[in-house]
Amino acid sequence: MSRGREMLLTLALSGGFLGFVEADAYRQDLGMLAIAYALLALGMYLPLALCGSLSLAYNAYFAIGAYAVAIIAQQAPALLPLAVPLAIAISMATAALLGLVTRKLSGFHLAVATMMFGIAVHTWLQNTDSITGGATGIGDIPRPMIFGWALDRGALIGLGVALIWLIATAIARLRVSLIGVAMRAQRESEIAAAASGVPTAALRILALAVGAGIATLAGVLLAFMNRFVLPDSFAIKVVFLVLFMPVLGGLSTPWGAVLGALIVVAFTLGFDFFQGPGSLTFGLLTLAVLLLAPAGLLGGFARLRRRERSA
Amino acid sequence: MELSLLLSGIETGAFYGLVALGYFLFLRATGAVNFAMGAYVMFAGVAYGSFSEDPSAPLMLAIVSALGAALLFAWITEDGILRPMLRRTHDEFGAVMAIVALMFVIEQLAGLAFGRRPILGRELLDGTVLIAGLAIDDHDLLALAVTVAIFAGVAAWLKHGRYGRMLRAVGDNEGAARALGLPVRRVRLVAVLGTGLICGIAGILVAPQTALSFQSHLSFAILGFIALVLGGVGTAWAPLVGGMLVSAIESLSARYVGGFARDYVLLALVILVFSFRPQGLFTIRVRA
Repeated sequence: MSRGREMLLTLALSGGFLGFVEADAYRQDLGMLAIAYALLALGMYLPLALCGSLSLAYNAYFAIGAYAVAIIAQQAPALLPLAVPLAIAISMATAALLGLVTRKLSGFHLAVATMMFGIAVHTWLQNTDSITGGATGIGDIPRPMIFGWALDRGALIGLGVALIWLIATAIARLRVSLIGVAMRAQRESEIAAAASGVPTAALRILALAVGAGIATLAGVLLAFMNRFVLPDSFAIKVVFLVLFMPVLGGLSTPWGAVLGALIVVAFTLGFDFFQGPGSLTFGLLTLAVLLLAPAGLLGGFARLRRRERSA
Repeated sequence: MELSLLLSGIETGAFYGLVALGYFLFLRATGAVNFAMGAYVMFAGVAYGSFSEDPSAPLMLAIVSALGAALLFAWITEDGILRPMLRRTHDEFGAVMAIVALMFVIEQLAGLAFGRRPILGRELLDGTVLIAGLAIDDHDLLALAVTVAIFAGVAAWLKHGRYGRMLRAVGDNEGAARALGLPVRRVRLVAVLGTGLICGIAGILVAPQTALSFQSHLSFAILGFIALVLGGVGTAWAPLVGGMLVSAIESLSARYVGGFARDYVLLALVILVFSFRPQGLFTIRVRA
């Protein structure tokens, strides 16, 4: 698919999604869940697909976005417009620091170290009542104002869809840009890439930081949508859910991560994900995709099309 | 009071040690850190607990189903996931993802099959004995004895056993072992099934000590892994030392800093240990 056609097709699909979810309040809730998952999955996709860096600390970045909004709304409402850039900056700095500390780890060791960080952040959210409100969280978050116009739920969803389209399109461009090629080269062979002058460690940390920034947006949107934050929305189990999304959709394009997020929401229809049989089906599906179609659903689809064309 | 605290610390340490021993054997055989191992233990424990809840139910049935489930999951991990994946690619990444997915599937299976409430199993031995003025559950003594016996058995097996010695060769260099004509596939399978058996036993032993739920596995997997890393992979006894260390650190931090501080202390520990014990830790090759 050419770049222009991909942009048009995804734009049309995003419009269709928007028309579908804006119909009633229930669909709006599902839609926002899908948007938050998609942003998290895109944030995870960037370091994962481009650099091969697997970080499991994404619940922390998700939480930073939501709690930055909630805490500033509670303590200093006048500064609320600054919450978004502040949250993104904190997340990116945290991810860079964590990436720096764990830069020599790989595979399972990296997975454990980053997961421990995510768990520690969740514990901190639950136990630091004076800052995060403890287990009861923080409520009464006001609607965000843009140029004197309060964003309602429908507008927030529109904003979320627009953000996803922009970010996915930008990541798709980044993939084939010089930086993206360097990132993927160091994934294939770090020694060869380093010998060719690619700053491998710096690129990996950059990808982790940008991915964390994207995941933060999911927290910001969710806090404004629900108008409250609870620590248990940011438990480590969210990470396992999000981790499967890019794999399910396919790592060859960022739209695979978005597709994975939609599949999860479709499977669970807004029930608590970890309570229904949908989650078992979803886990088995992920395992099957990993074993049988490692390129993911979109990757497998593209291969089928190629085969048809050549036949 | 202090003595009973020490005893419960030793019990917990022995349990983490068993999980770490499972990691150790699996790692030697396949080169993969099997994160789903905590889920084997959890599933076996929950299965044992829910089959033994009714006091008239035969304990044997509960034991057999727990061990059978753990063996089945171990076998699926090796023959259904790791070997087919390694045939295609030597990238560690795919194996990590598949193991995490399997862990999630086992968790959800346990929730579906046994419910999502915490389950406390029946003790293998009823009654208590008095040692130094302290009433100790027979079950806890049995658990300690079984743990030590398993460690002694695995150590002797690795040193003298036919498959144990071949496993050391396969773990050191699978390609060379294959070239020498060792039955690599069978050696791997024997070690993997041994892992499943150890996890099944660990689940049965821990089920009457702590109420387990379908989500207990993540902390088992994490603490067992830390125990493995702390102890190292030098000898078969190292995981037990690691397990005791983790248990000591856990209860000391809970006692002197507060219960929730455990997660912070463990995070600091993981980063420190991973950074200052680099030999053999930073990259674990998935051997071809």
